Amino acid sequence: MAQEIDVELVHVTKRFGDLTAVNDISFQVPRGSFFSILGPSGCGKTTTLKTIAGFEEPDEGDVYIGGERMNNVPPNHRPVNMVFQQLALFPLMTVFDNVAFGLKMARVPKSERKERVERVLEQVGLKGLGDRKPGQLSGGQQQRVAIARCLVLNPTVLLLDEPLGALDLKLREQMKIQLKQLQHQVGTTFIYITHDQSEALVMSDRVAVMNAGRLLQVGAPDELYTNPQDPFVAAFVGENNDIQGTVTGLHGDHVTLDVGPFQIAAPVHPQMTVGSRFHNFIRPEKMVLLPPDTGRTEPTNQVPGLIQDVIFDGAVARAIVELTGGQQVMVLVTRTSDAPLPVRGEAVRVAWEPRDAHCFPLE
Amino acid sequence: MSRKSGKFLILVLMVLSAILSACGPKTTPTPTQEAAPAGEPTQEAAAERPFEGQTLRLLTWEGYVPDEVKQAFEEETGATIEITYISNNGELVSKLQATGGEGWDLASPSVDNVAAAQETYEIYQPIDISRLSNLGNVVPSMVEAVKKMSTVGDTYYSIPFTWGTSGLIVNTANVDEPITSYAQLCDPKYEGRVTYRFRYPTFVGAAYGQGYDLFSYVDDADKWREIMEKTLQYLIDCKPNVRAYWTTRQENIDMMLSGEAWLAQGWDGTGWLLSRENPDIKFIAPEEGALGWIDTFTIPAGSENLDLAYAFIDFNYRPEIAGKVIAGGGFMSAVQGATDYIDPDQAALMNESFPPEAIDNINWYPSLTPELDEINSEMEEKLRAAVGAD
Amino acid sequence: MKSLHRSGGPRQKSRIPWDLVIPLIPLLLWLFLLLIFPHLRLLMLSLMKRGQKSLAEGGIFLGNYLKPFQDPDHLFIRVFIRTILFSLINTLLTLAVAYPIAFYVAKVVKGMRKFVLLVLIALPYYISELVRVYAWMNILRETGFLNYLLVDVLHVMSQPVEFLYNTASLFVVFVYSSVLLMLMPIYSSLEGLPDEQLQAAQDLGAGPLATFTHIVFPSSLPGVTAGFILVFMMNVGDYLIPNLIGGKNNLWVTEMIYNRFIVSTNWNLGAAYSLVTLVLTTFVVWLGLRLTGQTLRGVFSEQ
Repeated sequence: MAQEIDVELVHVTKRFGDLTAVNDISFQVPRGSFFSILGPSGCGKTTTLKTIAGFEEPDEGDVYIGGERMNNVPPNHRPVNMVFQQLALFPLMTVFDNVAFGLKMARVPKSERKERVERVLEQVGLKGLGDRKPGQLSGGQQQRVAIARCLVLNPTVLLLDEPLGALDLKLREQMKIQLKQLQHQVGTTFIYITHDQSEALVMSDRVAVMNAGRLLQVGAPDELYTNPQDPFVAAFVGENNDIQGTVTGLHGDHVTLDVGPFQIAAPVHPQMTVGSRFHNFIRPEKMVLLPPDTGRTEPTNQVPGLIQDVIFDGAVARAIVELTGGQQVMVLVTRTSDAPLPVRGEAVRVAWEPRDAHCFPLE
Repeated sequence: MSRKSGKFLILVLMVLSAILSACGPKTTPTPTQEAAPAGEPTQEAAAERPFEGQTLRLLTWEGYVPDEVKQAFEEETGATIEITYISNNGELVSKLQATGGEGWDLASPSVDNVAAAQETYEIYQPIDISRLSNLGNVVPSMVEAVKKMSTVGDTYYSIPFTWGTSGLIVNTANVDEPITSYAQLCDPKYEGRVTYRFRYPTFVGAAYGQGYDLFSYVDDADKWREIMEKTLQYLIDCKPNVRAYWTTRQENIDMMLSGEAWLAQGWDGTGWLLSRENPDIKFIAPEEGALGWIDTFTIPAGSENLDLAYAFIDFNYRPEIAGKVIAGGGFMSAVQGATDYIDPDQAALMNESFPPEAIDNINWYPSLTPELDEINSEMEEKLRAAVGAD
Repeated sequence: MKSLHRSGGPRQKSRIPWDLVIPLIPLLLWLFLLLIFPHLRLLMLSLMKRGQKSLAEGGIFLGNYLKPFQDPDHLFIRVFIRTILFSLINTLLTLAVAYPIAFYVAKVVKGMRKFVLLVLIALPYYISELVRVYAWMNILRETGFLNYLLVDVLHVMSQPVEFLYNTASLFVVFVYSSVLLMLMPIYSSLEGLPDEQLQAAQDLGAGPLATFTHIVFPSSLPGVTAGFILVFMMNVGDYLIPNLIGGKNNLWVTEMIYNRFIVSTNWNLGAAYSLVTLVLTTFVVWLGLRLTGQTLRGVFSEQ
């Protein structure tokens, strides 16, 4: 497993006045990977990125790029390039000049410059548009100019600060796929910032989830989804139902949670004691709907409820169910048979296995 | 773009308002009411005050209406005085020309300017001396001279107010030889220590200093031009002596008082004012003759308050009021007995500068034809534009 | 403006768009009364002989326009060239002073401090120009503050020197009085330049100088040009400063116009002088725009 590491942050902290924007963060980005930092706005992810790019210096900790310590190296001397949130294309220059800018700064000879710019423009699918001004391009094309402008310099790492944020939904979906393909094609390490968990899950090899300046969990998208290590990750990554309760009984392989109007069984968490309060997350696809009067005892947890709404989406449907006591949960209904979809107002029982749930202590 | 352009517009407006406020009117309308504190006996006196609430708009020179005179007149008549100051006769004529004589009730041009301006622009109206009960106080010969000089057709348009001269001002602390001639302004030993205007009076002084009796050629434009051209060259050669051409009276005062300039051609009133600040500074009527002007009362064609205008003229013909005018501004008055009301020191200064023979020797400014005016402007500009040493 | 034309469409060409015109009436009146009308009056005056009452009475007279060119001394032309040349030099000096300040305020300072700085910069301009010029006279004169500082306080010089009344003092006071006019449009166009572009340039390997020449300056060019035109026109049209500060030899074209109107009361010749000045100055600005490959519309729409 001697994987080469392109970027490493070691105990990095950055403060702005009283605000700790980045709080003791450490992670490694393997060479050639698509690495995302995911978190809500204001979580410190952009500051983290700017620390890597060199626009911010960490107050504590170290930044390594390609094995070299980068603290106090100015941005123009770091082997990383950045695609800005608002793209920051130079509006007065042509597309060609935008892309050639970095090469010009590096004093690459004119003939080589031309060759390299044209190659990268072709790579990003902008062949023949070099004479245009950025303002004459579509949003997606501008996006690709911004990326081409960086890639032409063969950076060790490409940093992308929510570059899809300004695009409309449809274009965003397309660009997700294209970005992923482009990254495969060029093999450069991408560090990608986003608050959109679907972008992160679709494109990334690894995702780091941040909240309030802290790094909560780093892992492959699948790992974050199926095995969250933190209630924030559980709630933020993918859809999830959170049924909170108080531990009333410890039974070895499971515990009893008193939710209020009903009691359920839940998996064991090492910090559980009788009387402690816990999150209990269950994914919508791990829940099933049963008729109110069947005698089935599987799955173990069964809570009566009323269908509030059904959101139909082709192969699957999402049912919003109000449980006894008023809490709403979402249940994924897969249409494997011709069984009719539940209808609004129908009485049901929501059922799941305790082992499919994830428990975390309530703050 | 529109948000940005809006912002730019605001900036531009900010800048413009700053500039406009900076270019505000040069006129100085005196705030009304300033000398009438609430509840003073103004109310009771109202019945006796003939011009209560009316406004007299004056177009005149700085110093011609001292605060004391203004207050006394306002108190007595109930009227308010608004003054627009002028800095030369051309400005006065231009202002009236622009409005066709409207906007002011009374003006004080120099007499040599009145006839020509009236002939070309018809901006004044005839004077009715029967409305002036104090006219008897005015030096009769001066009244006659002014009437004559301001006559167009068979009517006259001016009566005298003050008079004064342009001559030499010297700081005897720095200049140890007697100063008697305009020619001494250009003595190389005073390099950088002289100030005068680049205007007509300087040319006149310089012409007399060279021995030309310029005023005797008012009817001979060719000769006039010839003398003026010679004088121009003379003054260009004199440039190294000039520290700066003064344009306002205050500049003249500043340069003399600070000691930056030792010699000046300037007004007698300025000289006496300087003497009182610094006794080393004297006004001298040169042997070639001081250059005399008479300022007058003249009523613009569009005057809206003739009664008040005449009342103000009559007020100024009282010796005690005339005394206040000359005490404040440093001019000489056309009103007999005015000197009885001034500080004896000032009277002494006047007598020292003007022994009787010096008064006889004064060269009075004659009226000029537009053609001569044009020659004068041309020479003034050539003098200003000629590049000598900085 | 484009959209205004389009919304009308070719079919409605003959109809007057009252909904647009009525709110503009005060502006149109203002333009007419304060700009167009006085210039028409000047034009009429300039085409008449001195003393002529109306155009109908004596016909058109071109002598006023020929006069500046017939003068064997070429006084007006010489003074005009000097005015233009000195105004250009001064405008360049003003640019050199204003640009760093504009950059500092627009790009370096943030938040409240920026606002305070802007107010501090603009504040002196709310005082009358005359007062500011007198203040400078009292700083520069031989017995003034600067000499006091250099001779009596710092002992750098043994004798006071006259700093006033020369071409250098003219430039100092000119720059001071025009700096705001240059600063504001540059500030405005720099404000519109996102910080991210500077960061992007730096990120792509540009040092401070390269960032300035390739990114900052080109994007502030419309502001620079706007400031240049404003300051240049102001300087050419200034009366006070050349007169009070410029000393013996700096005759400005404005003073020649003033002399015609005020001293020799020849309004007709004065009107011709001012119109010739207006046209020639506009020509200089046009030439400058052409030489730098810009258009007036480009300059002011970029803002």
